[in-house]
Amino acid sequence: MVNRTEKLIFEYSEEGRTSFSLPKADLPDSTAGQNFPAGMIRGAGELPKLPQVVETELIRHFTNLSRLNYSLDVGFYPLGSCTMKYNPKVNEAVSMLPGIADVHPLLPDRYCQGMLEIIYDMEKYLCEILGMKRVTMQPLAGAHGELTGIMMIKKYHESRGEKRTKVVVPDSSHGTNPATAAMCGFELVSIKSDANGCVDLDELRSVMNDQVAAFMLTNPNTLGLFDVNIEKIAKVVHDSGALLYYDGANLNAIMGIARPGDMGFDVTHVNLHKTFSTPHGGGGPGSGPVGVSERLVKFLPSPTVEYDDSSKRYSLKFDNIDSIGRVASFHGNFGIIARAYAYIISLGASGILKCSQNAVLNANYLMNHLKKHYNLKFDHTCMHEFVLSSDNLAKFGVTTLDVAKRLLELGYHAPTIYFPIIVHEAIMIEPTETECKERLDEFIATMIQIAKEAETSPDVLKNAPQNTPVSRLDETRAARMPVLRCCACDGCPAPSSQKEESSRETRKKTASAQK
Amino acid sequence: MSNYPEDLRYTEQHEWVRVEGKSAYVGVTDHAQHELGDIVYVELPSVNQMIEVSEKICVVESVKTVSDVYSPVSGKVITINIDLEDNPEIVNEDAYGEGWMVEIEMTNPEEVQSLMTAAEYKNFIEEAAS
Amino acid sequence: MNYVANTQQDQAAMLHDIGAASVDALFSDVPERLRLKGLLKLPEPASEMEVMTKFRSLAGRNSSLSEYKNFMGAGSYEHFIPSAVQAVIGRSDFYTAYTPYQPEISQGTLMSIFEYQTMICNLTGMEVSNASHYDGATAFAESMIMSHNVNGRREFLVAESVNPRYMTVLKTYAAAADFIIKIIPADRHTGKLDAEFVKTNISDSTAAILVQNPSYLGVVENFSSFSEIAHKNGALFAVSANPISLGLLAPPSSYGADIVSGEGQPLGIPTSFGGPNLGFMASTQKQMRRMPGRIVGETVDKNGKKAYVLTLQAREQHIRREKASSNICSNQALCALASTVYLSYVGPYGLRDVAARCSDLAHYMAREIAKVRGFEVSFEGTAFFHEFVVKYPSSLTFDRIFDHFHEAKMLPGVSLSDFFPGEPNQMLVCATEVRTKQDIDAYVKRLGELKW
Repeated sequence: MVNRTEKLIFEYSEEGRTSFSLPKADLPDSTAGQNFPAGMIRGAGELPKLPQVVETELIRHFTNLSRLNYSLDVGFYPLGSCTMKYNPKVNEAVSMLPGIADVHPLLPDRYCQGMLEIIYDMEKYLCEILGMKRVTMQPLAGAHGELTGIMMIKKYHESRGEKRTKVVVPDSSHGTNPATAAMCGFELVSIKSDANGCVDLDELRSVMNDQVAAFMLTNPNTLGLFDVNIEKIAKVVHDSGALLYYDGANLNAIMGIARPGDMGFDVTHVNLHKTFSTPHGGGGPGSGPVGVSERLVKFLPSPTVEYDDSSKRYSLKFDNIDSIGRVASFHGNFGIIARAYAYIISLGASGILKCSQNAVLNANYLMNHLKKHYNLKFDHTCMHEFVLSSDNLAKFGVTTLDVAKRLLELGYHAPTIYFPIIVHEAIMIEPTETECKERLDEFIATMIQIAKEAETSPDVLKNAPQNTPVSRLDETRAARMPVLRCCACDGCPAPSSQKEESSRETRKKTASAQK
Repeated sequence: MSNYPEDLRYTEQHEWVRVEGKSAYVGVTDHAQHELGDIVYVELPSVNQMIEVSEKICVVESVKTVSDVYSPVSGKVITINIDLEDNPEIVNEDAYGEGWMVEIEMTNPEEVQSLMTAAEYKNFIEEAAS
Repeated sequence: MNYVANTQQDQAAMLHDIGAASVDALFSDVPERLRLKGLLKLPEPASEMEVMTKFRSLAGRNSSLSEYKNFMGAGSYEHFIPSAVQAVIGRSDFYTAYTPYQPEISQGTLMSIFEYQTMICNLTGMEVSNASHYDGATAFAESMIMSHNVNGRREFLVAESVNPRYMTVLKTYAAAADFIIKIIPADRHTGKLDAEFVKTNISDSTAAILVQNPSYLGVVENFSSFSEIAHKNGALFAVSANPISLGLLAPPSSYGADIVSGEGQPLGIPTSFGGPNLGFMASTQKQMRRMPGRIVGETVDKNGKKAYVLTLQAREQHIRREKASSNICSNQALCALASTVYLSYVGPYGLRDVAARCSDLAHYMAREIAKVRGFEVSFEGTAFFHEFVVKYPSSLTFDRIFDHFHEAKMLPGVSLSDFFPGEPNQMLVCATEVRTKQDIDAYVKRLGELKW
């Protein structure tokens, strides 16, 4: 990462600059302008304001932007709940092959057998890893998979003539869980964790009844602890006629060790961009396949991919009358699916097991060293991640945010902070299996150094980071006076970084100029 | 630290009420604005909206949190403080004065009697902190 | 292949520090009953060479755009992608970066999203854009939900001529949220929507009118009257637009759209068997806080330096939880970056030229096809962009037509057998700027060679 300033691309723009050209037109006179209804063709002065740059400046701009980023190829990301494991390059290469990257999604089945095989095999592999009956690859991200899963659960109950209106989640759950349930019209019931950070069985029993559609859970939970009562939990949920939903964010802890299906989960979603090594891309694209048990198979999104053993052909099946419908335009984020497919076949069964074994080993190694210097609320063997707190540093006036910013200064991406909300000043750390022991030792040393600095020179933390392109942003201002696009093209000066008043004036001018 | 004007009444959800004739002015307390941090947005109800006691009437956003404001009284919304739309920070600066949020024409003025006094609210805060 | 560095020595050293007897012992919380006894039934590990071989073999069984002249559109479009796009998104500083929650070390991602938001606003004529949605269909569904969040109503008037896959997604989301969808019929002769139906069926329960422009069938209309009807009744007007067409055609803001969404795949993203794609979504300043998804804003840092940050996060799931307007977490950041590079590369004149070339070629193709005996182009006299409907003789099946063209290394179009009840013999044909007059002439000739 390089510490320099970069302008917005609009600031490089000048009328008439371009590197783009099309082949010469080989048609007679263009009649394009004559067809369209009145008012539907842009006039000469009405073209959209897009940058006008030559390729040199365009490439320089985006290359310089990229150098303002920290990335996984540069260093460690101990982000709890994100599973930032290495993104293998062969996965990139194969997904970009002609015949893989440039295939139209609506080809008749007979002309895309290779693509259908990838989808079908991925479903098979995920069924095996998860212990589920069938999988859909259609959902386009983890939260999208959750939505798909809850939609299927809703339809399941409706098909049995039952009107269930509630979904239960633990108070430690990821925000997408309650948001998803609300999108499907369910009322949320949140239950407190027990003293060990796991599901409080008595609390669960007290809320489960014939009004509850599902209990959404991840195991290991967001504290990185495996809930040993999982089978009892499943029984309580199923006894009341509800279904058990598995949030697959933490799957990296248990692959090849145990399977959510065997634990009693009815619906599971998986994040290919976490557990299965596909790149984060700065915030997507991801992929969130969903697995289901037998009783939910008929509600899966349509079409499903089928295989005929005698003809050895794959086909798309559309006549699934009980399907919830579609959640995406086509078959899912195929490019991401292809990368995850390459990953799974590269690793094989033994490699998949090795992931979870080493993810858990690495996490316990870090935890055992760091618990001597930070608070560890739940001092128990963890799975692939664990949660510390900086509460022991509070007496020096230091918060988790300060620790995180000092880590940025020392060349790391910070761990996940302030989540889960049940741990005060939380620091959630997940090393993954792709970090080597030397990296982990360096990280431990750095975290110990920071804890010491908190005591002897807390200002060092409070002033961090000093060596990054920008430092300690004014997020209040960003939310109070939202400036969400560049106005330079409108003839307004770009929003100034000086007085708040002048910035607001500019926005008002822009808003009225737009009308 | 937080202050507790004597002429107001208070709720456990950290709203305050100032009665002026038939009207009740409502806002969030100094303690609340302090807990919320920098307030970035206040979502106000519509004028003429009918509101029940304990019903959600406003939403207050800070950068990292969102909080519902519940009406301490029943009635009709007469006025809303539109200054808060462009300057939500007024709530941080003057929670009991310029930071008022809504004026409600009360349908049951006796409801105010069941709210906490300044001393009771101060006690409530101090007990919760220990 | 292996990506784990830990050797047996490393493991032993770590276990020693932990005080555990074995790696297996770390899993003691997992009940014995649940522990898998053998390996999962997955293939043997493959070397990189074997992975490559496998993929080349799979690729060989797909009719790719590099080998076949493509005339299929219907929601996934072949456009020329400048090499600069891959040069940028292939940089690992972009594609292996995490979501920019730590803004100090993510200014590259944040600035490029801010640029993306600006370009989407400029293309659509709207004031606020989010950082991207999953795809055109889900963005359309979210505009339905957003309308409900604005006015609390649960009924929607949706054009019959929207992409049928979008319609299915809308219905799936509507079923989950207990919304009601009423279909606005499209005229069988003109392809245009029935404005009278809208006037008669709009009520104060209607949250929004949703249309696609150009429609799935290629038809372009000026929807000013629709937005007027919507606004008069307190409803919103939401449009799904083709972003390439916006280089040539008037932006939806000019005919009263409140929410504009669409599929951004045509902007520098390969077809990739339908994903990853790019949903874009933009709205007015007034509705800014109702927009789902991540949004990047400009601010300053503690030293007064201009900086970019994820903002208005109090709308999102990780803060609002069940009160969030949407559950979206990840978006399609890398695809948004691709579109930003594409739009920067072609610029306003380039985009207009691409759109005009698509339209010119499609209109030429439609005229030539109409000359072939037995074949008709539907909706004569109605404006279309780069796709149009071809009616073929009833004695032909779509499969026969497709195979006939496939033999000649062409992909003739997408079937509309299920689109018009009672009228199965139709297909959707598309021509983009990657085609030439020569390609089209070859197509028309091939069409003429069909025996029926």
